[in-house]
Amino acid sequence: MTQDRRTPTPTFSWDDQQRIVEGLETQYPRVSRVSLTPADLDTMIRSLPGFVNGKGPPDDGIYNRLLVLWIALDEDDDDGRWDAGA
Amino acid sequence: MSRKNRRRRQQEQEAQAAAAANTPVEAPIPTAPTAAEKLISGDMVYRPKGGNNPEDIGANTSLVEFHRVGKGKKTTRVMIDNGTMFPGEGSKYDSMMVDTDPYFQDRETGAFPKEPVDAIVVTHAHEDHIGGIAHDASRGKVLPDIYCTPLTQAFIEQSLIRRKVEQKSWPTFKTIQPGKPVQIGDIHIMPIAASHSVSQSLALAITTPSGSMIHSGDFKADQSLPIGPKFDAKDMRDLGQKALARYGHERFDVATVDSTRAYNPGYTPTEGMVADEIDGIVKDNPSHRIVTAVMGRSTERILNMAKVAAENDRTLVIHGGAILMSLQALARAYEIETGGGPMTAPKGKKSSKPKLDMGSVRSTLNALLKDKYGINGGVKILEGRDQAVDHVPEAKQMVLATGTQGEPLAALPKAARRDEKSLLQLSSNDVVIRSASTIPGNEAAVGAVDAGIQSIGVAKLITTNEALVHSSGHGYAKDMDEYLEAAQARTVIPVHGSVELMEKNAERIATRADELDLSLETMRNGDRVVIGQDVIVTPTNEPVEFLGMRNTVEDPEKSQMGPRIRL
Repeated sequence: MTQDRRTPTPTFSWDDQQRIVEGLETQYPRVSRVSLTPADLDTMIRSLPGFVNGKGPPDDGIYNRLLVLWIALDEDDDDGRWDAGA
Repeated sequence: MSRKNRRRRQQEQEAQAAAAANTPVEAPIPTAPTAAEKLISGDMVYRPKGGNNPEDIGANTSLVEFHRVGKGKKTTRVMIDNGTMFPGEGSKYDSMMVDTDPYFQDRETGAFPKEPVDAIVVTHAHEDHIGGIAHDASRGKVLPDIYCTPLTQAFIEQSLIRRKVEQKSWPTFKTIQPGKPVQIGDIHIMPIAASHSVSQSLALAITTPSGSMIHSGDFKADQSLPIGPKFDAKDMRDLGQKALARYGHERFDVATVDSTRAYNPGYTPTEGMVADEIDGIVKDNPSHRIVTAVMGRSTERILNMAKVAAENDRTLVIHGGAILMSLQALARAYEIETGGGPMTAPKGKKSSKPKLDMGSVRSTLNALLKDKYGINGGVKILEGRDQAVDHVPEAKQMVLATGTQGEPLAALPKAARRDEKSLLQLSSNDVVIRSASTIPGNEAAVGAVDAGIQSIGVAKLITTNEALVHSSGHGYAKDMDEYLEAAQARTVIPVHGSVELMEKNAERIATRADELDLSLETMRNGDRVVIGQDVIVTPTNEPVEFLGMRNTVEDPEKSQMGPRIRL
């Protein structure tokens, strides 16, 4: 008789913001982030495998912070280094 | 209402009342010196720590101090900008900043700084003016209040978020705007609009009981900016007069002046001219996809490209994180200005199921188009990675891409070398516009990108050599003349450039010195400039210490400090 050896999905909550945005990128790699409302983000986050709501979002600004962290995952050079002479 | 809800409501009301009680009611700032202030004596000192560098432009950081003497002796010290500098190839550092250890308390040790700074006032949101702030926060410095415009705050917040600085360690932001002065100890600061490539840029009129100066910030006289606020000579004169009246002065003792592009004759082209040119290119190529590369923080250009897309019934397709970050910053700035907005849940909603009915970054962009250009229908906007782009005919696409300087990982360079991971693929149906000048030192990288684009066989590649598709954020000679005429200072000091650029600027201004009734001084990092009836520049011969930083391989957002460097 074989035993079920499936590893349970590790859980994470609102305080693991890096994990959230990595999850969003994995689940929604082709979404236009500029079109997302906080409500959209909230729904998408709650649908991530392993996400546990716990006490809920810590504050209203979390959607803004998550959007920045999600965009920062992009493989793109920040051209801010050229601001001085542009 | 249930007992539980009543209790929650009561708690919310109590919290609001407590918050209101804790909010100090700021006394109105006098418009003239009070009787007590007329008795104050002391020295105004300006100390450039970075920005007036031997070779590279950047690390703009300076101190303005008022040392009150006699009874009530005290020093007020304000830092103007805290930026980074990016040394060229061959340097072992990715970026450098002024060593701010003497000015900020260390959070961990509690060590008190030798020369504490009371506030940081930021002129605008370019890295050479704000880049040091997040570095300082992430290396455990306790930052004082930061006075800046909403968009500048939004970009600083992005840096704090990306560097994973805990919110409890964030500085307090205080919003400033043109015409609304702030008083920090004995230093009075009047923000004045300065046109620049990134929106909400400022010049600063700084007055103290003993002297006064006007700081140009990064400046051009462009009257066409859609977001702005834009420079207006009359406003600068009027606000300058109000600032001078604060301490009973009649004329500014000093004006600093941007040197970056001042050696060019005439006026710098305007953003409006660039928008018209690109609009013409779009209209001339109705069956082609238009791919325009822009600098990420050119918020004025980005809004104008959205306008061009909207007016030509094209979908704006974004390729590149730096542009997305700017759009996010514009949305966040709107939120700061309005006290609520697109990216915020309704107040008081911290429940596990918040009701989120606000808008998106797109809605902010469309609000700007309506507000600034009267465009009611908005613009269709997609990220390049969105599958919906596949359903938009190429002739209906206006692509905005990063990579104007040939950065290897940016969107246009990846497309130019046919990177298989690139979602932007170029073809013979594309008209490619590089809407930026080539920054000295990047010629080879940009040349390689252009060669790659040509080898693909695009319909056209249009650069600044072929058409007016770029406007510098820094003013040419005539722009600077307008500034100097509006500032009407007795002494002018060139700043923001290498020594060579500042000397060229000084030579040019010298030809108008008699006409404008001004004298010229030069200064370098580390000098002390005593500002009053006489302006005395004292070289200290003490090299300013810089911190060299290397980005870590594991997390490019984090950086490691190298040893201190003397420049």
